[in-house]
Amino acid sequence: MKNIKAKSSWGVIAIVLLAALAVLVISWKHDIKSLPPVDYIKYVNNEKNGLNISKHIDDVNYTIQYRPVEYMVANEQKNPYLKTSVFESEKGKYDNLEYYFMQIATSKADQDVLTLNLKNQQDYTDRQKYYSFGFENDICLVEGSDTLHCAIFNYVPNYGIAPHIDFMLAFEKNKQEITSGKIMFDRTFVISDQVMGYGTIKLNISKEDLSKAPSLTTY
Amino acid sequence: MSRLKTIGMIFIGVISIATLTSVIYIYAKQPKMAYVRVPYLYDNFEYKKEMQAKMTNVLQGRKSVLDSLELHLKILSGHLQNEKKPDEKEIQQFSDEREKYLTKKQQFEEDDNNASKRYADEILKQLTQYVDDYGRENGYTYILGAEGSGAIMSADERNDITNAVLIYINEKYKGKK
Repeated sequence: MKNIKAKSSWGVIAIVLLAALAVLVISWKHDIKSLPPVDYIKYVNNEKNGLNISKHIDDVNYTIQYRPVEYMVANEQKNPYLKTSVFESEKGKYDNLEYYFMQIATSKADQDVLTLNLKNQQDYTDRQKYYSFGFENDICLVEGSDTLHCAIFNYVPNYGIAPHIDFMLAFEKNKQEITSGKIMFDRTFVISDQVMGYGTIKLNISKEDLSKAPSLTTY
Repeated sequence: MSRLKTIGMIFIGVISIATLTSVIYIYAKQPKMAYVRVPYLYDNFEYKKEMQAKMTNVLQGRKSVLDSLELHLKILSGHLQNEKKPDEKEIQQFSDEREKYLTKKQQFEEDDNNASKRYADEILKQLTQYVDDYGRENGYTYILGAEGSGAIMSADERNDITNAVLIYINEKYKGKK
């Protein structure tokens, strides 16, 4: 009788331990699956999470950052306690496209990236014109067998006060992915920059990293 | 006696540890070196292959333009030769067409040379950067380039890291590293 009692109490302990472990795992997973606005932005900005990638060649650094709809809304609202109703009404603005931020920077902190290996003043003006109007034709996004061109291209000039120039890009969402409701392809950016002289630059965001992106906690 | 023995043991221990530390320090301080076969690396670099295919397409396109102009010129020339007293207008037309052909040919040659130089420069810049990245990531002090010019006269094949570097640079080019 005593033996049976002892056995059953060990069983209870084991069940309690397993339940505690399950709760721990679930709560840990929950932390990664959903993040409040400030942490969400940090997650996307963190290079380790694979949504913010860069390639360095010579003195120039090319960066591409995937900006999910959640990021766009959280970044615009700048509210650490973003309300669900606000998020739901704002996200409609970004729903149809996929957004990316691109930066071309120089490792020489005190130098305007547009002045790298500059021949003359006219060359500077030509570069500005190129990045304003021509560059968008030299960027494409490869998703599986589809090659997409920019649906939105916005050049943010630095007016010589920062060592980088920025771009906001948006592309049509992949129809197959919309239908299936999951990420199916890597995103490979093919950039044929005609100014810097490095030829075709490719940057890849893996489908695994895209799938791992957490959701946004709203209040 | 026993105390002396203990001191002796401690002394030997200290000396052994110091020697071992020095050996490790000297070993760690030694530059890590390897070499790559540059022509092989260059020829098998994915970006170079892409550029070569692109250049071949451009050259073929230009060749067909020149061939067409040349054929037209030959027809005109044959026509002029068959006539006993060629019309001055036709002579002028032939002269204009020949001028156009020669100008186009020269322009294409210049463009081809410029494009080849630009592509080679772009390929080399990316290749150099990726090899440097490989060296840094894998703790190499030097990666030497064996290019058959005599810069490296002899090297142990065990230090040949060409294949590993080739895989790395191609992945890097595709943006997957």
